[in-house]
Amino acid sequence: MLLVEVKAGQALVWGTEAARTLRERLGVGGRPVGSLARGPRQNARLGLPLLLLPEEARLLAEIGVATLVTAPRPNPGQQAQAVAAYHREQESGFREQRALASEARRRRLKDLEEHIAEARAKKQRGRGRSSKERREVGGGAFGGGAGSVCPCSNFPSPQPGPQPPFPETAMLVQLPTARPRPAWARPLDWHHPSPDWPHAGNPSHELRYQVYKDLWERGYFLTSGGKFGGDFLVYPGDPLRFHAHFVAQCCAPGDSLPLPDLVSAGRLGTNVRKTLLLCSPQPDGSVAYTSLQWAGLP
Amino acid sequence: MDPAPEQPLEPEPGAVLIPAGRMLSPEELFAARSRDQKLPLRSHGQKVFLPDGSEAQEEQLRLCRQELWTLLAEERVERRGSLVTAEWSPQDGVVTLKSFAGKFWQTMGFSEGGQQRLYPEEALYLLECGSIQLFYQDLPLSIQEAYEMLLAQGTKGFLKYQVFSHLKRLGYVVRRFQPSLVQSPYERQLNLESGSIWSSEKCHGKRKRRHSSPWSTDKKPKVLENPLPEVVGTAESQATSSQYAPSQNSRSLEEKPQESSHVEDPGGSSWPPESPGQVPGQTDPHGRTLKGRGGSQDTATDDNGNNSKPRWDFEKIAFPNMACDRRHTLLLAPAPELLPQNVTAREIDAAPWCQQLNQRKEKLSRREREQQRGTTPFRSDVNADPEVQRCTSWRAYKELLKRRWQQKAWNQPPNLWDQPVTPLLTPGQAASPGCWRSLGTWRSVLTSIRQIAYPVSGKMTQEGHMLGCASVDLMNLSQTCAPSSGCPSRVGMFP
Repeated sequence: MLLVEVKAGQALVWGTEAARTLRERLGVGGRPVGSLARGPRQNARLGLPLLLLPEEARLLAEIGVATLVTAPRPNPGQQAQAVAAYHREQESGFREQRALASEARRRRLKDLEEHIAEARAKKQRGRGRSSKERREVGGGAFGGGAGSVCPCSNFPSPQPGPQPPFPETAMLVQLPTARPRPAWARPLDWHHPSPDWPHAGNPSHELRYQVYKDLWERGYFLTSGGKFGGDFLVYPGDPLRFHAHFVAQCCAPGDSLPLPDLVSAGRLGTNVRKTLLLCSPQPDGSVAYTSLQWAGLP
Repeated sequence: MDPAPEQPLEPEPGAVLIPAGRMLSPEELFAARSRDQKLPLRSHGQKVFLPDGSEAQEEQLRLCRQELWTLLAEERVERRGSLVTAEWSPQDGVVTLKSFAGKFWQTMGFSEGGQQRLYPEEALYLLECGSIQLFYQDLPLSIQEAYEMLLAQGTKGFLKYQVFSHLKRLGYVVRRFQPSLVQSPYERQLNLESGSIWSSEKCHGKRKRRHSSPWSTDKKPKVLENPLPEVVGTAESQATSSQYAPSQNSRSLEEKPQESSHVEDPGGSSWPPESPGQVPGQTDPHGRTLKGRGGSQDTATDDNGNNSKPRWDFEKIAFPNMACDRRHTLLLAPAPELLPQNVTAREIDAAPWCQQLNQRKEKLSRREREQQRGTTPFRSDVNADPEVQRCTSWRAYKELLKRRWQQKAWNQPPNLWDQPVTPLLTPGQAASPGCWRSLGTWRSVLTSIRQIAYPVSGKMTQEGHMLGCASVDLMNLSQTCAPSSGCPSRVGMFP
């Protein structure tokens, strides 16, 4: 059972596995809105958390795949325990990392052993000869001999000497993305409006939700349509590989549609080579669609 | 590394346990040192239009998705030495740095009470970048917890943070909006910002400046928020007041000093011992002293986003005019509540000081002189003329014009003034000696031509009446004269 935390009307997914399940098995994409761990200072690719549309969150709750929960309140009784546990983990982690560091260093030295030995031998030869040649040749022999010596070759013996200390500042620390300790949270009742879920009962939300559900059941992949001035963008498959076919605009069945709005929506769709889809949920539960496409497009 | 399951203390009925996120083991942490730092290119080939269920498409999709999950699943791993420790305090709504700030201090954060502080959105951005480690009650916060705690203003906070981080990732320097930092037109006139940190930092190449949208900056609930439309007019008063109001108590604007009001800032109360050279540089003919402005720029980093109402309404406070035109030299002591602590003031007669000053008369440009006089020469409105106003129709106006012209030009015959000026003789038609016989006519022609050339001379000569005849006679004369090359130059000088 997936858990989707909702706060102030925003539904966020913080786990990669959950995001993967949603996208691959359910066709619900969401939009990453956080910085990417690998490159936090660029905008081309964003990372977790994944922001779900309110319609997406509601759909997941309705079909029973996910539970909407509100953000858990911190438990003050657990605080001291948590602090102690954290310090313990840090210390043990530090010890292990130090062991790993020394192990890695030892392995590296062993790999380069023959390399080191060869360089050292060259240096010995160079020293022996150059006492004579020093007056004649400049630093050429020295340069050639010293250049191939790796920095750790100043040990007198092939066995590695005392290891340089692994300071605390060199310890690697994780900045976790999702919360590091389990927490108890209350499930959210999405049928009724609350501060965390203000969409319930909102007529525009209901309208869009019906359209979203209908299109999703037909197998389309829907994402937020803010880019092209509509409510949703309708993809035949995963947006990673396919272009959108439609820009969906939701209208209430009884509402009049002003002609300038229609023209502007049509032009927006035409400019990006997508069909405008006007969707109106009917009282009987089905959705009526009208598509607009400019015939002049090649 | 699985987190040890903690014993929940009396969970609510129906409560759901949220499992912990992924925590890396020391081996994984160690291995993270050598992971790839480059971002892979997004596209594995062009996007296609229709899914056709082919193997190639499936494979491409799988690759794309795999890459996406790899990227999303990576956790942030940093060396402890490169992390700055920071502590979140919900009461103040700021993050305090516990160790020394890194490079981000140049563009983010502020100093308060001897400590380095960060705004919550800045701290969250730095946490996502992996520059700081945020602690709350001795436990480091994960990004999820930080989102929940620091963006506590509901949806507005989340959306604002999205905008902030988007701009920061693009490379902009984003600051909270402070009306006191926006230059009013008056400040721009004075060009006070020429030496400040803001304008000097504008010269640094890559930095771009943006103001973030106004956030609510009330950290202490009793501070009133300043409505924006008033901001520009009171920008300077606010900047000065932000120096004088460390206690952030907003005082009523109606509080005015007494009638001989000369609220010089506290620096002015010890005015006599100061060098007199300061005063002439800062008085202008309209008599406002401005000594308080200098320190305001230093508060740019000190200002903790205080948007309280300005303490004084400078439009109601009159400053003494100490200039030489209307000298006001008897200065009474300022009201004690207008002064900061530990500063006492006394009244002073500034006459001897003013005598020691070199107060030169100001040189006004022509435009300023005109403005002072209230007149603009050479420019008169046609409609301001009472005679024109009496005309009721266009025909009447034209008759008025004709009358006026006739009055002006009664001595200007139309055959001379309404025709284009043509030479009486062309160079080819040289005058024979016979032309010179009528010297009198030449003289009259000369005077007439002079009048043609300089019509405004207003001089009349008797020969004017005979002009028409004279020229006609000359024309006849010239035609009867045999052309010779004797005096074409003289003739040709007429046109």
